[in-house]
Amino acid sequence: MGPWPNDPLGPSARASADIYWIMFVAAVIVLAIVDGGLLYAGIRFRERPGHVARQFHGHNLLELVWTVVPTIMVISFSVLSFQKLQIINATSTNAEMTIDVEGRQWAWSFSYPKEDRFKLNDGSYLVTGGQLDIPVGTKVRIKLTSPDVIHSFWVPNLGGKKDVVPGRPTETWIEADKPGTYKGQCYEFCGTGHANMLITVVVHPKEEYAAWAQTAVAAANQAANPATKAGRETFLAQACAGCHTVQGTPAQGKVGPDLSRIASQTTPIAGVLSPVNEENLKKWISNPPAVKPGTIMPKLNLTDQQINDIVQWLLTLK
Amino acid sequence: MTTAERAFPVAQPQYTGILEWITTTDHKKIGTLYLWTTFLFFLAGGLLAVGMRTQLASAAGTFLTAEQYNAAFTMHGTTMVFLFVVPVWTGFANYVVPLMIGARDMAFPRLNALSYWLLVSGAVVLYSSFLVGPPAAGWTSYVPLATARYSPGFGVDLWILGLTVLGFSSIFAALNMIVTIFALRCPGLTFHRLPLFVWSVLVTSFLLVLAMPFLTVAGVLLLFDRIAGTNFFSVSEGADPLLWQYLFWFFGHPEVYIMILPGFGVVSEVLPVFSRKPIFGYKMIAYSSVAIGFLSFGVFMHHMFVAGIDPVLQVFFMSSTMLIAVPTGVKIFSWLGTIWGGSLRFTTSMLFALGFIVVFVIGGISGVFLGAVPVDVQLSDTYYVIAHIHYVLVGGALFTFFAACYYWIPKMTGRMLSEQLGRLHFLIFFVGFNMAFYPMHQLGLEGMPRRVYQYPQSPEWTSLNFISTIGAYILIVAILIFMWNFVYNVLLGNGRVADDDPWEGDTLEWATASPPPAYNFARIPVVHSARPLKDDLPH
Repeated sequence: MGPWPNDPLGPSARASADIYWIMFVAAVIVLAIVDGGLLYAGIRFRERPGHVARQFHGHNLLELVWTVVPTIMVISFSVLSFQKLQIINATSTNAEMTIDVEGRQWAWSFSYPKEDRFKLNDGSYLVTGGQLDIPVGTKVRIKLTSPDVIHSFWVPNLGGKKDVVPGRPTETWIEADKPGTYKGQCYEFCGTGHANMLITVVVHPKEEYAAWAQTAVAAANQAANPATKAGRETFLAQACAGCHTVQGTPAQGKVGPDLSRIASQTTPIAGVLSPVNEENLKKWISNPPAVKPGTIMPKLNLTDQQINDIVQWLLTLK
Repeated sequence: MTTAERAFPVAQPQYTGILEWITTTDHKKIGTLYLWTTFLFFLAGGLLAVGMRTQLASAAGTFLTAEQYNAAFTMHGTTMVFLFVVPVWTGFANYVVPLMIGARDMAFPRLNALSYWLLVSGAVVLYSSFLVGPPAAGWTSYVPLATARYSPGFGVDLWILGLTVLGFSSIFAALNMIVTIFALRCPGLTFHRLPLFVWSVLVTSFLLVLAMPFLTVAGVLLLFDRIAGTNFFSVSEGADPLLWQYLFWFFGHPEVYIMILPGFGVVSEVLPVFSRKPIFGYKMIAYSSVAIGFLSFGVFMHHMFVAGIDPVLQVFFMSSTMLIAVPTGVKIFSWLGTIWGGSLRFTTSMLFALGFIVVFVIGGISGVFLGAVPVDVQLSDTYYVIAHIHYVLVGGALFTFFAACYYWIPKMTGRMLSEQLGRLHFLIFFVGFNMAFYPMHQLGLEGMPRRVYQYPQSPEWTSLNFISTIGAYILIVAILIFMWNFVYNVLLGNGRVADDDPWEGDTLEWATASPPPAYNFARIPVVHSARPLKDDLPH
């Protein structure tokens, strides 16, 4: 997949690319005139014996031309851009699906529509973190909110970016021409973790989207098992989610190991504690540096109850 | 050129040595202090940039941590804008403008000294943040990120305080410049005979006086929020985070022209002298500076096209932004007209002026791309923007800074710089600059965000970043050559002695000795044209 002007893979990105290429042609012409002129003048008018500078102060017609022609050019760009902007800014017209996106320091979560296909056992609806799954050829309205600082949502090949502004909901839209995996990330500097605030958009063929939704809902149901709900909530609310990933939850940290299948892990915890069981998990979480000096996981100020809840939940992740 | 008797008190220095420099009110000495101080901060800002480029040479660099990298780009931008480009032009203007208008000093010499010492104070406040943890919210310090909750510590406080002091420094210097240019022009020097550098300084000074208070106000509000618990930018109390952006960019966009208009002025002086010809379209160049000055207040929201502003505002600011390309284009074509038909001498100063045109046209064109909202929604906050601002600012301010150095240092010091080293400096600088910044256009098109310290998820960006880093190292070599050229020829006194008018220039600074005496002119000149030294009137 090339950069967006070469590979606009959705209608919004295409509208932008159309303007880009028109301006690109004009830019090449202007550059050729100016740099060609400089080069020609540099050779033709260089100081040498017998060559005398011609003394003149201006040329009214030329000055008129190079004022009027660029004015016409930029007005044309504005008019053409205005037309394309109608496409880019039409976030809700004909949108077939709406995703509520929350950008926060430093992760994304995607809330799927309140439709039966995304409904979980506890009555809530599917929320994923880091990865957004959409069907191909479908206009998806992206509603953006932030609980902390300003972020910006952009998936280059699928459409224009939009800032995520706290206290001021914004929206954009994406649509993909063909299935595949598209990279995006946060584009407004938002603090220490800005560089890690990645977005993956997976575009499914239409006929496979229902199957994906089923799998995702099943995984989320397992992760949201009411018996271990407290642990899950503690995990997501505390620092854990900043470093660890648990598939099917908003926890998408990349610093520490992926914990999506921690309960069926056969290698030792952090490479030192074996087997993976309740006792060892508690021992590890209570004070990691005491178990493995030099580990980057810090001792967290969790109560015994919180540690117990988290461990009970981790043990369901198989 | 004729001269006129005019009484004018010239302050006699009361002290000698270092005390003389500390207490001086001589515009030339203050100008020199400005130039030394700002060059020092240019080196500091440059080192920060080299640290950033070293970090980005590979996808998962470990030269800097995220926190260090964020502090580095915050201080790099702040330093280059507020401690180098803006005050370096104040330095040149301080030195050259009174000479160019046939005056013996600035209108308010003590205010002039105050401006300089406020610059030093602001710089000390800003750099003292390195002792307590530097600011890391970007040179734009967007809220809520820059509020106490998300940027605890003293870094942002010192950033605001430093910028407030620097703001007063700039405002005082600009007021002084305005009064000087209006009140102290020598007899016969009408506005239509005023050197174009002076014109550009005049427009720049008005922009500073009008724009700088917006930054100061925004900064003070944020400071109150941070240390006194007010809620000007508190979202939970119903504040709109975009308020900061409106205030900041109402200052920030005129600021761009504050940084490059004086450079335009330098080029308008250098090109005709080394083309052996008058400037082409004098009035159009002067008026286009004024037009740019006015328009610069009407384009600021193009920095906020993706911030969720009203589509009507998008369209208005898109049109005004593109329109500003017209007066800029007029200048470019007028400069081409200036060298056309001339007898071109490729001195180092001339090479930097021509190099400026090549580089700046690219920056101007990428600016029109970014001005088109459909393109901007794709490219804003990517490396394309970094490429654009560096083509504009390094082109408009740094190439022209070097053109000004090679042009005026002989006047200021009485020594010629080496042209051989100068040409080498230009060649290496030009190559290094384009290597460092051209690849950033492509990185932006490929979606690399600005202000990221690593990009392990996109290793395909590595090769272009690596080229860019090599370009940055090449720039170091170029700067070292420049410094050696200055040290060897000027400080160590090995350079050829400069006569009064080594370039056969025709503006008034060349009518006095090199370096000029404390009183500048024994007799106040009387001019009869825009090229007083070419006047063949009887003396």
